[in-house]
Amino acid sequence: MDNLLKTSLHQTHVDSKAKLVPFAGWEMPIQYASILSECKAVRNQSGIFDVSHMGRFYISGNDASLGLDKILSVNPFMIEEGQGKYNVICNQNGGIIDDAIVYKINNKKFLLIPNASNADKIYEWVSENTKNLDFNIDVVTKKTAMIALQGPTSRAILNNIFPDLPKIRRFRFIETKYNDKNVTIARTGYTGENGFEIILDNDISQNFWKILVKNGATECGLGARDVLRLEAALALHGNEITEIINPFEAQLSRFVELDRENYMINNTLNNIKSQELSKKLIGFEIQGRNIARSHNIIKDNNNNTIGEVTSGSYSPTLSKSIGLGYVSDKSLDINSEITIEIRSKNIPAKITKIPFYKRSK
Amino acid sequence: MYPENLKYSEEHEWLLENNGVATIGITSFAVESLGDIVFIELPQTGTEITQFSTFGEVESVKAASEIYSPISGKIIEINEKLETEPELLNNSPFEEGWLIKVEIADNSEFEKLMSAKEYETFVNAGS
Repeated sequence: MDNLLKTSLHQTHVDSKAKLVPFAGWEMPIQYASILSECKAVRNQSGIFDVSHMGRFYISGNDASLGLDKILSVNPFMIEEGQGKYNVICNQNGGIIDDAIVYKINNKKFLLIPNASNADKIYEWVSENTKNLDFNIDVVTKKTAMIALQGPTSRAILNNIFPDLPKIRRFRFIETKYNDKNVTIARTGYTGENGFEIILDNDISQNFWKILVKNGATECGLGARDVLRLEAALALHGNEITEIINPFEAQLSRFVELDRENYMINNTLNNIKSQELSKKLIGFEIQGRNIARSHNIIKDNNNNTIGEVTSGSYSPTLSKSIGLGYVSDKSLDINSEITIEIRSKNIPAKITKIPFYKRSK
Repeated sequence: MYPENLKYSEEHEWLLENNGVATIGITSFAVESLGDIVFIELPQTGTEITQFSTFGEVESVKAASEIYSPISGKIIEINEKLETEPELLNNSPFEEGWLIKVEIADNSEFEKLMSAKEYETFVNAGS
């Protein structure tokens, strides 16, 4: 694993005896004690995740808003300063290259967070499509750390560390100081739980991580993160969303703002929107305890293949086996019975509403 | 590290022989690489199984894995507790997390299994 990138928290993970695995070119912790106990910690108290492998691009210039308006599925001019928005970045055909969060610092400065596995591709796509603009991309992925603090006690933990921290609304962020260093705190996450994502300099990340642990946060790996995001039915690029899936099929239309002059694929997406979709994303619950895995075949009750599983796991919060997938049969609805082929066996399942898990306010 | 009184297979199953009956489970090494186990599928009592062929499946949060029998024979008992407490496999792979008991068909099959020491060497060579 010598040529893998290491985050600034790597030594902390080693010291905590995390199980490390290669992920998108980085050596990342997949679990510490156990995936199930980490999931429980996030749902009941709080957990912390090293997500420093995700891309962090500062975008600046007189044309920063204009350039992003060309590329993102949301209108950057309409985002407020201090606000972040989830969006998708689509190719010329409307397929999803990546999903990302864009934070607006001001009209001429944004922060874009793509997935680790797509960061290089997004860098190229954004550069290519903003060539003639006053538009700069400063990649700070390796210079900074990003820590997700997620769970019902996450705000209380932050209060202990930042006694004067103002209220941060959902999808808002603030810039503050920790040990005289700049820290960005955003009220975002990928677990379906209340929480924050914190960006800070590499040289204070280990200390900050330890303070979070001291304040009661449980160290969590990417394994728990994947289970938690599935319970919340949050799409994962590479699974639910890919370059051959458009945002309407992925049930992400609420993150697509059309009728924008600058948006490169405005007409393509309008076109797709006006047509009937060839498939749709569904959530399902397995009857029994087998677990569906990505690429398992979905069948109707007459044994006809109607689609494919994109994600599946045991849900520790619901004590059920759950999954997401695409089906071509649009007549199927909540409670429709389907079959999942798991290792040559037909396992009964039924379509359920998503998200599987929704936190109580 | 691995209990001395057990025999081991290359597929990471263990076997405890007692009066012609083999208690079979999967090793701590297998359990650790699987992570949290959430479902174990076992055949019914009375099923005949063959050495080194698959007789069940273990699902963990991350992966699914087949279980191979270290010995041939007839299943006379399965660990019913695992249906509601699959975590027994994580917590106690060599004791409470046993999977099945088998009436041993052929004692000579033991020769194809490893001692604790041999298994440890085997595991270390592989990792």
